[in-house]
Amino acid sequence: MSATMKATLLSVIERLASFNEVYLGYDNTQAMLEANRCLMCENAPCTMGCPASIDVRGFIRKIRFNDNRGAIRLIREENIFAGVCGRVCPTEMLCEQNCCSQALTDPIRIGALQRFLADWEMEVGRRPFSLPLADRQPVAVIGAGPAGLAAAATLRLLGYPVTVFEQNSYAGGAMVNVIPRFKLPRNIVDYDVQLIRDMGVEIRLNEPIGKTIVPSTLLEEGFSVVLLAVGLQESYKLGIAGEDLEGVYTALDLLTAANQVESAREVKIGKHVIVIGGGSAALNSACCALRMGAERVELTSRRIPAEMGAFEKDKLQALDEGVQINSRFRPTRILGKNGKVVGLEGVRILGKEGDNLTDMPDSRIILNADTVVIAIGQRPDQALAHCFNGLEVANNGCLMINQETGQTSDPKIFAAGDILAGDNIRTVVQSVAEGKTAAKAIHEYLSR
Amino acid sequence: MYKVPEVDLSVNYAGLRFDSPFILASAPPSDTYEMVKKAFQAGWAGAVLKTTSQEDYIVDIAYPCIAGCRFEGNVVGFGNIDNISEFHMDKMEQAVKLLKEEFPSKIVATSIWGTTKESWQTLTKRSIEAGADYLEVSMSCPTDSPVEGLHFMVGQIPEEAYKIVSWIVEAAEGFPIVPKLTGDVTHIIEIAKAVKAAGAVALCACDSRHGIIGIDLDTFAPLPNIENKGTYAGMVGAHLKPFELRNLAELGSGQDLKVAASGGAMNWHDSAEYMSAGATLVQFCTAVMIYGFDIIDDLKEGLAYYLESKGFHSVEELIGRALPNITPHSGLKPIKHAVAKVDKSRCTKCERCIVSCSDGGHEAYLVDTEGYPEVDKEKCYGCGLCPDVCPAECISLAAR
Repeated sequence: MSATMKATLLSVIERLASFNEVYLGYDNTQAMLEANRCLMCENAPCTMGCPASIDVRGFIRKIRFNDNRGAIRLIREENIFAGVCGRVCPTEMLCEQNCCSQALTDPIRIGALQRFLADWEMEVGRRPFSLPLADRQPVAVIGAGPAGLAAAATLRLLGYPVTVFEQNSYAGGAMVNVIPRFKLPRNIVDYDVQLIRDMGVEIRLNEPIGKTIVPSTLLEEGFSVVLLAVGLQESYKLGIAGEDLEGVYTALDLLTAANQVESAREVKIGKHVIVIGGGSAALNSACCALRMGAERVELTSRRIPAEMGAFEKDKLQALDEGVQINSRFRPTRILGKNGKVVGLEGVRILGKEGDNLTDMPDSRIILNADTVVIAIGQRPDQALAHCFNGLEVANNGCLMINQETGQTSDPKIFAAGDILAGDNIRTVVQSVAEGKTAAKAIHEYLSR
Repeated sequence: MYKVPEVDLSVNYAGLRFDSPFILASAPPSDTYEMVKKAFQAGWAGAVLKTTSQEDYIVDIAYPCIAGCRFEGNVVGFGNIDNISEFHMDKMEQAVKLLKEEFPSKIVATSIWGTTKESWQTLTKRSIEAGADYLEVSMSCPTDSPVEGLHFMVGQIPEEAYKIVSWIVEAAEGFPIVPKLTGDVTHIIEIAKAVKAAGAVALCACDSRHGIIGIDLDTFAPLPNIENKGTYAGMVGAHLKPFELRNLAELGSGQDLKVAASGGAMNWHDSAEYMSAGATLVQFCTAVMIYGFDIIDDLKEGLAYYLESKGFHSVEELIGRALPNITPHSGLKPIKHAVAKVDKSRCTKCERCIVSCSDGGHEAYLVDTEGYPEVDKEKCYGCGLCPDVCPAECISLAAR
């Protein structure tokens, strides 16, 4: 069977040789076959499962009815990041989870169909835009990640001139610096971001966010509202000895280095890597390490895979690629010699369920390692905290908003994206949804 | 967000302007005011109401009246043993009045069924009185025949069609009359010419085709079976398309009345094919029954992008485009123009092409050392079978 036709996945040997995309896309025949499997439900549960409210049934029907143009239009009108989400969305827990086809055979591969359409549009060229004049009140957005950019696009289409202020030298946020290239090639992000520029949204890079760019100065300069979409730029620490040794990195360090982002801290991956954590950042870090020279990568977590927060595809990929999963492990100390990491000490923990665990007596374990990656989550950047002066924040520093009005405790300041307090699973599509919601709230507020 | 194509989807037919070629056929979706209202709100350009009759006419419908025809488990069309509407002209008059009041720019036609000159003419006058935009003559419904003793439909006999249409035209006094033809004829042009001579201003082609949906092998009765009996049905849906295209092509090249196509169009692509074969309007029923009124958005959008891609500014530029290319067989060069070519990068090695060619073609395929099909160019006639048998669509016909 030919590689192209069989594979929606590169073989493991091929994968580890580079950061090339692991999943391959559909061709026209495959897309049509898959679209033909769709039951064409009314009040489609897939549509209801999409955080961005894409008319999923509608776009699949358009593929089936030979109208790819109309199909990609339906997607982009609700989610400007059609290309990015077509690749990174954990559709198995969103639209596909509800798919009625699974009662008969398998859920429709909705993500693959969306990706097919985004790639098709890139290939044949997009339609020109029809844009309103940007003659309403000017809006400032801080942060050119998915939430900020989705909000900017929505506002622009409502007639607002938008300026996005970004601290990095690139736009895209986590799409560029945290999601691995083997999931999301850079050109896909750049294409979607360029659409937003083409709409007339101004994106200013290398801006000193938190220094001269803070909401109050922007409001003084004439912007009518400010949207904070600054994301979570810092990493949580374990709070154990040895975290400052040479060879200890955070997931952010490793992922940005893997993605060759300019501002990345220098990361030297040794031969024996241990990643601590169970989210997608941890699983992705492990797979990146395998591509960065590691001979052995082990992942330690308090949780077993079924309990881990990582997306299914990320877990499966790590497993296939040979990441050793060491569950029910609690790290106690990072061991060093001459200032460099030589190992990780921890204990075995017992229990049936990830949060109700106790240390197993006399179970001190020492794992060899020359690199340790701490991937236990991200938090708001402390340096930006004074941007939030006076704004209501949660215990973890995330911003609270009024669910009805979308405003923070300052009516002229709105928030969206990872910086929002709350339990929503963080995905690009969730940030897009929050950006859209914030944009509509801003429009409500400015139209009153 | 994206620019909408600058194409004019409006068409002129029977002296009326339709805002797009897409209207409802005379069928269950157009049986009541409420349903047509939904359709108009969704964006359909017009509707031919389900065929109606005088209040004293008894309409017998046995239920179930619809069943699907399947090929390998997939429904490819339907058949119905439905009849004309159970609602008589009084109900339809109300529907016409309300619809025209609420939707003045939408086109509403009645479809009538009479049994005598008097009833045909009365129904005609009542349609005009109610405010209909035009009238379809239901003379080809396969369920019954209004002419006593005859087992044929009026639409199959030129003289009968002429007679009935001229009664109606006489009563219409200039109001547009559109006879609905049937494809169950030898020469559809004969019927078209007869009704034109009688005063028809445009045509609707065609009503459902006579068929038997299937036989239930447990009861030995046709589907749908009613107390172990069944009957001949009117076939509708996708499987009619090739037959409809034939009728459209014949009408498009053999006479000059405009045609509203009916039967077999399931999406914008089919509609565009019908229009290129000569149709001005495309009537829909089965696709609406399967998917709902909201397919109208897909129809209009798909058609608009297509027209734009061809550089057309108006859908009228599409009408009849294919007719000059439809020739008798003798007009085709009798040589082997092409040879099959396999794109190995997309081949699944299912070997379906090999067995099809071996047992149904010219035994021109071999298997190569890697397991891929290889075409023997000497034996291959380029007959065209394997490209449409291949599940991966990786075979094309290439120049020799």
